[in-house]
Amino acid sequence: MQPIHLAIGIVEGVVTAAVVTFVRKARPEILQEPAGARPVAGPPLRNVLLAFLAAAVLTGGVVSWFASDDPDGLEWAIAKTTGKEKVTGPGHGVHGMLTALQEKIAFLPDYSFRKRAKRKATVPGRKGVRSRRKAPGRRKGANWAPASPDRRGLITLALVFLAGFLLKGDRRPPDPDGLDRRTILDFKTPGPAGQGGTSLHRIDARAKVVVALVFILSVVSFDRYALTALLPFFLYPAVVLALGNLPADYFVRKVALFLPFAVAVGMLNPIFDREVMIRIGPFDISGGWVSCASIVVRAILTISAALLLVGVTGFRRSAARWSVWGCRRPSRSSSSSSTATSSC
Amino acid sequence: MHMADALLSPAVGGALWAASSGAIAHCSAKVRRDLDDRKVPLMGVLGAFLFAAQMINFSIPGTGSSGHLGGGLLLTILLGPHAAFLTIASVLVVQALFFADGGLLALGCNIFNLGFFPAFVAYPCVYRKIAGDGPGRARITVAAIAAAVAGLQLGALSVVLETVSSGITSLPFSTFRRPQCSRSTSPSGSWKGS
Repeated sequence: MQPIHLAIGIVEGVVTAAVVTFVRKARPEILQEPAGARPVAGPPLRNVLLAFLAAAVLTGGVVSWFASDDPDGLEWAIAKTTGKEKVTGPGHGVHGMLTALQEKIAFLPDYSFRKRAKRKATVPGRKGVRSRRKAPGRRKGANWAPASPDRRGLITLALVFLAGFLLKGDRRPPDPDGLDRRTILDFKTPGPAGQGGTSLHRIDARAKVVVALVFILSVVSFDRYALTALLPFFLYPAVVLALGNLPADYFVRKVALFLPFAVAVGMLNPIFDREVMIRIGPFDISGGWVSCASIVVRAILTISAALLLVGVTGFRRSAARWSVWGCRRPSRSSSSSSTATSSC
Repeated sequence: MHMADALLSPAVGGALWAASSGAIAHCSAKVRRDLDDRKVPLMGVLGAFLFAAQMINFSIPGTGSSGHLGGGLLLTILLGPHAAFLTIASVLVVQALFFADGGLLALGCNIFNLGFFPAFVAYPCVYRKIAGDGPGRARITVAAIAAAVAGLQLGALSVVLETVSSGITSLPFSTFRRPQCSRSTSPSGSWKGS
């Protein structure tokens, strides 16, 4: 235990020092004691918070696929001493009771869904689904990942864009003439969005369209049962909302408006696909419900991407930019007619 | 370093549960009294960060072992000992309840080993002493490495002591403390996480 944790401790120390140095540069007053009397000047902690949030999502969603499969220091020391990889408990009395309790509560043992046996059997090296607590080695989070490397590439790409947005985040106090709440979906008028309230508004509209497209494509390209793998994508709307100074409550209501359609599309799945896929405690959840939920999540993500694009660009502006690429520019006079959506 | 239930007797597990609960109660009272409101979101986000960081196992070359960050020291430096201890404890509770990482009986031990030592021993006794006030980059690095090593050594020793005092005879004190580094017995494909 002691020698192996010496090595682990050194790595931990280096990482800690790196993070502390970063925080000290970004927000030095976080490190100052005591917590009480400190000037509350300057912008909020948002930048540091976003950085840690992004780091959490990145490590949990992406880096964890490349984590080591070896046993950790404690397991290793146990194995060296006993020759077994795991000490087994008495299995009765307090131990048995607590183990049973934990098996009931833990719906993601070893950080993965209890997938149905059929899917498991086809994947080499991932065995022992039903012997719950020991799914795929120490590689936690392995099942969060979509299977194919090209998807990983797409996600990484999307996250790189996100990182770019994060780094471009404005350091000035929020603009009082930010986006008017009523105009976020008013496609006909450019509104204050077009005048560039934040650094997000100032980015070239074509770049924003491409980012939104990449985002939507990567969301759509997931396996129909993907659910946890989609969660990191919620970072994008969150970050754009925060950086673009958009009214979150209004935006959420607009997305909710579209939800019934997504639910209607997904509702047929539970009827046709009844194969049990996940167990959460005593409940069996069929593949149909999972894919239905996946459809809804995907709908939320894609709709928010589209709405946010409009929010940080203004519809006319993003459409007008396409004229550079040979599309017809929407005419000013058509703004009195019903929609301006047919421009491109 | 998340212990499993099998390493503990109910008596030792219960005792450490009591110790950790006491520490949590003390920290809650302290945090309620004097935590800066602006640090609350930082606590939440750092908890999420810690959660994700603990999933990443980096391999230790030449041993066939791997390690993951405990993160206790980092949180303590950023949040102060009391808020950090609470954050670590909540992460460990979620891991034990929902992800079966670390046993329920062992939860008290895990909170104690991974939270108490970095927050209340390594940070005040090692990090603050070396780093002092307004430290530079080099001092921070030295202090962080020394404190992280100290915290983990204490935690690891504490795991051994808890196991031995539980009477788990298959893990004798001296050999469990210093296992030999030979790869011969470990076909690395056969490991199971706990």
